[in-house]
Amino acid sequence: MFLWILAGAFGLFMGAAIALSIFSKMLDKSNNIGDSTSTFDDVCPEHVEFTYKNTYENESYKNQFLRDHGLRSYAKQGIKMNDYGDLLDDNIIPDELPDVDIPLFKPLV
Amino acid sequence: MATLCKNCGGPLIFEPSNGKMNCKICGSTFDVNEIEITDRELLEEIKVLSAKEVFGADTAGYYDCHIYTCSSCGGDVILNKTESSTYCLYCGNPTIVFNRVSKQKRPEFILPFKVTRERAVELIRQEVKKGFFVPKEIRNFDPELVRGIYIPYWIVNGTHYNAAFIKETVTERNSNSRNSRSRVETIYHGRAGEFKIRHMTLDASEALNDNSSMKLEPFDLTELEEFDENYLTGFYSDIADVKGFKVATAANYRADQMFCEEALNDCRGFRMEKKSLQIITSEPHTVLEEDMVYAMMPCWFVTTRYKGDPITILVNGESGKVVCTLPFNKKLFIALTVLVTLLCAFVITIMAKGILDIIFPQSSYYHHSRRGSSDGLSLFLYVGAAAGTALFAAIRRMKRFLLNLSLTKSAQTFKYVKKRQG
Repeated sequence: MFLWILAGAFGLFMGAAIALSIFSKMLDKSNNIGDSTSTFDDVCPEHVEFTYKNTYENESYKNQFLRDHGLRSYAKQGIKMNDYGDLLDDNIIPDELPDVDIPLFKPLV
Repeated sequence: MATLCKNCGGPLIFEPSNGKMNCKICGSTFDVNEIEITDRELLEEIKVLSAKEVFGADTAGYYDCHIYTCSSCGGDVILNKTESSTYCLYCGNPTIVFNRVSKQKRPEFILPFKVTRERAVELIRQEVKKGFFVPKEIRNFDPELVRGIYIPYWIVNGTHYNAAFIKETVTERNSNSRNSRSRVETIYHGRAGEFKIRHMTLDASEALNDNSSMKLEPFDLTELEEFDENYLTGFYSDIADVKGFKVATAANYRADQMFCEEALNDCRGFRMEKKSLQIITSEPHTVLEEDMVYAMMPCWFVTTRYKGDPITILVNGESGKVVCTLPFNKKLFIALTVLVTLLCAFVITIMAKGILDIIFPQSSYYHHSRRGSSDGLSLFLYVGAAAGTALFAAIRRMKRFLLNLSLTKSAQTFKYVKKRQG
């Protein structure tokens, strides 16, 4: 009897996995329309230039890798850290818009 | 109204089907460049005012709004904070808020609508009909509003730098050994590199959810035209209200996603082997060039309702790409899932019982093979692990689906479309 319960539980688990896998894919295909964005090829004319590649045995190398090749290394490499104030300096975004908004069409009386 | 027909003086509207300015009264057509906007300087002087400025009411309890004066009839046109073209409620003519697209605030380019209103609805119907789980009410949907809106975008160039630390789990099954055992090994990869970003499009409207607008892409940027207010006639449009910092953050986020995908592909190797790879962390940094381009992109917004909930379907006004995640027929989905679960469970239970009988023999005369029981147990573990992975992937897929569905049912997007005059 115990083996039947064990087999039944396993069967139910497998059945649920198979059914959900099939129907979630079907649902995605059926009702999720146009679920894609620009790809790498759309915005990059060339491939990624990997300047450093390595394989490590354990996670303890992560900090050293990031220290040598991550954000903290960019300034040393002479990579500009953005000053976003430079961008959009020609006042395209209006500041003078009064901060009033919705609801519309409500009479002012 | 600034753009009038040379033959009859009627209002001209940009028609996506022929890419020309059409007169609805006498049927004349003109090239966009052929129509000069008269009194531009004068029109640019007309400012959008708050209702308090117009009517002088200053009681805190009153609602306020933005008011513009229709250049055709002088009627009050109520605008939202960023609208640059709309319709006048009184004379029905297209109204362009020149003050919001003048000189320094002027977009550089515009991608004119190519898909007509009718075609947009037809494209949605075609997509919706294909869906197996789409409810009948949505298959035969009745559009509540169909609005063509030019969305402001920034087109950016720059360089993206990144360093990603990746975890790889390798499972090796040693079938030669006496006891068939698997070995799970974890290794880590470091990938640092850079790539040039060229013409990345980023939605510059605060009111529109980025996750919705991103899906409208790609836009064919070779079709961009120099900005001309004439393209706005007959459509709604918004000006940009996303500032530099947010643009850079959005560009960095999207470039990071792209870099991580390429780094994972690099770890998979040329044959794109199936490996279990996961990004542990990445440190992205994007340097944007200062040649950002401000452009307007076309989109049809079609709203309808399902069981009282608003649904907004987006159609790329240039390519005709339909973007939406539709509510599904829950009864059908649950019935089919339960039915298949029970059928599979029945078959697998019988098979599993047979295997369990071998692993745990009950009779003394049953020849018990240790090798056989070990193989059976391994088989259970492998199949169970595979099913667990499939179940996990299915749950993730469902979660993503429900997240996308919440975008389609978003009250924010619905309001973005609905709260416009005309």
